[in-house]
Amino acid sequence: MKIGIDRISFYTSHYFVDLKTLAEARKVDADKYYVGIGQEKMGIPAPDEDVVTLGASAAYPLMKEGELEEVELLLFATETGIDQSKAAGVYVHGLLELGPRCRTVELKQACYSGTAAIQMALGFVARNPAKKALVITSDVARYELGSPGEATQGCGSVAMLISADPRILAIDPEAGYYTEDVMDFWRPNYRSEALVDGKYSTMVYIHALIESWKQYAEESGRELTDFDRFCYHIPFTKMAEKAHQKLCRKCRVKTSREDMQHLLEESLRYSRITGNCYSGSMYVGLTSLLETGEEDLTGKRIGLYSYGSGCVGEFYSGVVQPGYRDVLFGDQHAKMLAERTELTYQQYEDIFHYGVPTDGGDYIFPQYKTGPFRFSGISQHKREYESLVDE
Amino acid sequence: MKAVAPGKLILSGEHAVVYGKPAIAMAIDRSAVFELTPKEEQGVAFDLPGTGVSESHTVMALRDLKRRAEKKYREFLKGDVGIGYVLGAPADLFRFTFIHTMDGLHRTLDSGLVMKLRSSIPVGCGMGSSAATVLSEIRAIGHYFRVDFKPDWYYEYSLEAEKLQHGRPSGVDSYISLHGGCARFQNGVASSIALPRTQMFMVQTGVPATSTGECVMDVEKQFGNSGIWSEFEAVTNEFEQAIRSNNTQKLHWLVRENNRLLSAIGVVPEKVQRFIAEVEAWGGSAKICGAGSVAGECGGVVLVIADEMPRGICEKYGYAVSPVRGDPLGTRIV
Repeated sequence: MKIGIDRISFYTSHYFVDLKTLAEARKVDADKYYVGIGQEKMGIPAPDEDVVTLGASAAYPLMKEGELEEVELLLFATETGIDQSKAAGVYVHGLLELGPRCRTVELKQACYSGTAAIQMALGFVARNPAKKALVITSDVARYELGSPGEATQGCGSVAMLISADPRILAIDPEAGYYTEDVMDFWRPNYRSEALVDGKYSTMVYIHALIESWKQYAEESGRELTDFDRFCYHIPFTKMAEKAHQKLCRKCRVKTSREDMQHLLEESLRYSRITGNCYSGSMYVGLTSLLETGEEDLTGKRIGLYSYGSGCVGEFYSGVVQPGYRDVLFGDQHAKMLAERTELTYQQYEDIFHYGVPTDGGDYIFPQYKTGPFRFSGISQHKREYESLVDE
Repeated sequence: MKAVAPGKLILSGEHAVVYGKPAIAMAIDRSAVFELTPKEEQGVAFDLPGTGVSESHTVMALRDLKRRAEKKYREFLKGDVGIGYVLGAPADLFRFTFIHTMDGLHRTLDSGLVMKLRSSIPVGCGMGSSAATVLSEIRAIGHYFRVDFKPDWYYEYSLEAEKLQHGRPSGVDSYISLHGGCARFQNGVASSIALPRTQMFMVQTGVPATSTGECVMDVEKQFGNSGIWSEFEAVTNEFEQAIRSNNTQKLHWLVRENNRLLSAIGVVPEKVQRFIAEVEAWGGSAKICGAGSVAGECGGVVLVIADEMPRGICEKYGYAVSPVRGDPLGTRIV
């Protein structure tokens, strides 16, 4: 029985900052970002948007098409925690009007947890082939103003329906994974921005990739040349290119610039203009590949490498299914990305400092441009959400 | 089709701005929302807070209203009538804005429309309610008719409507509502600065007994040639620096200085002065925002900066209080 991704939908904020604007404010050459890390824009959530609204908005097209009716497992992967106890997915469950007979939980392991969620969802469907699981990855990437990581901020969410006989990607049973206790990136509870050792993190990312690949290759017997495309975790698009080069070198596979372009470029398009989406990052890449690639990928095998600092890495793969193009949301995503509003530097800085009030008071948030759901305020220490669907 | 525009608070320099000195204003998280919905019957109906949907107006009737309002405004400019005479009813501002915008866009109505306004901005307290409502209306109309959003153009249109309400508006309200955030204003020139990050509260002391125009005239009689405006200028300049450096302690001191100067020019009613003194003794700092009042005991909105809400003091005075935060983005379609 094939199990895998049956539908995939991506969402990012309506507002963005062009990295040329940031470069000007930081008095550096824009190519430091455009070329150096391969990023052009970063998505900035509106003051009334958070991981719940981003996630619910990503899943909304599935809700609208009646695809969520058999969902009995909702896994919400995020590292942008909004509550120490309650799973953000439970709010999403309500907004999406999922049935009460549903297991809902939040998963955390930096940028990796989306992959953990998919693997768990595969197990659930294997035992319950008639049921479906909804995996939502949702994050807001934030670093201190003026810090080296600042240009790699972003936000976004990907909702994936996991089922038997999937219409998009049948996931192979083999996987290679790696865990090591390292401190390359973390965010203590008392901070709203992550702490990161960028160079160390890059090294660990690649080390975990090599180790994951080794196990995957042993189990599957496949070689790098057996893949038609690769999707990597993308903190910034240059990282994916760097990682693939290292993996090819390790496997003694020669790759030209053109080969690299062919294998990776389509998966980097969305990420370049949305920025890092942490747990959703690799899946934004997968969406980009499927929706923007000109070549029909039916029957092609995709290599997927997910990395979460701290750290866990996993390499797995999947085969693109016939007719996959008919069930994508490419046009909607292209429209969403084309209609975003650019922020000035001052607006970006003001939103950055805005945050969610932490004084325990009651607040009603004014409305900004969001998806079909918004974070409308706080009352008696409770976050309140609003559906704009009927408006 | 829905557009949102924020109200504003003057953080420093009200009154002084009339004498060419700087002022700092901030867009806030209270806003006007105009929603535009097509309807089958011809004409334009307005659904305003507390009034329900009005009868439909034909474009011809709205043009007639516009002509009359413009004629009265010319009489105001000649000094023949007061500004309160120009718009017959509060709703006329929105009717004028509608037809003025439509004419400016050279658009015609193919179907009827319902224009629904909802606002969380207190009216008549110097919080930029009319500018915000006008801007949200123009933005909604512009979007409905698929006009490219050009900030300068919207600004000009909103000022045309604001004139009928306020006589000779400075443009501060429209600018800050349109662009959001915080800005310094001097001699008609605006420059953007960061939103303050200090905890702020907004206290409603009641609608002032005197209008902004009356306050300004009264202050001019007594302080027109006073050196006090240079003191206001120094406070506002330091206020800007304190915001830029996120220096909360200095902001406290400057708000207190600001209040001292506003009290000196007689626009802070005695009851409000007593309230502010209690806030200061409690550890906060406070000042009126806007013109204040030269009569009665209500001073409009008082801004309090403090670590927590001055709930107890407000209860004692019968004032409503709530947290207030900046709006980073200004007028927008949602």
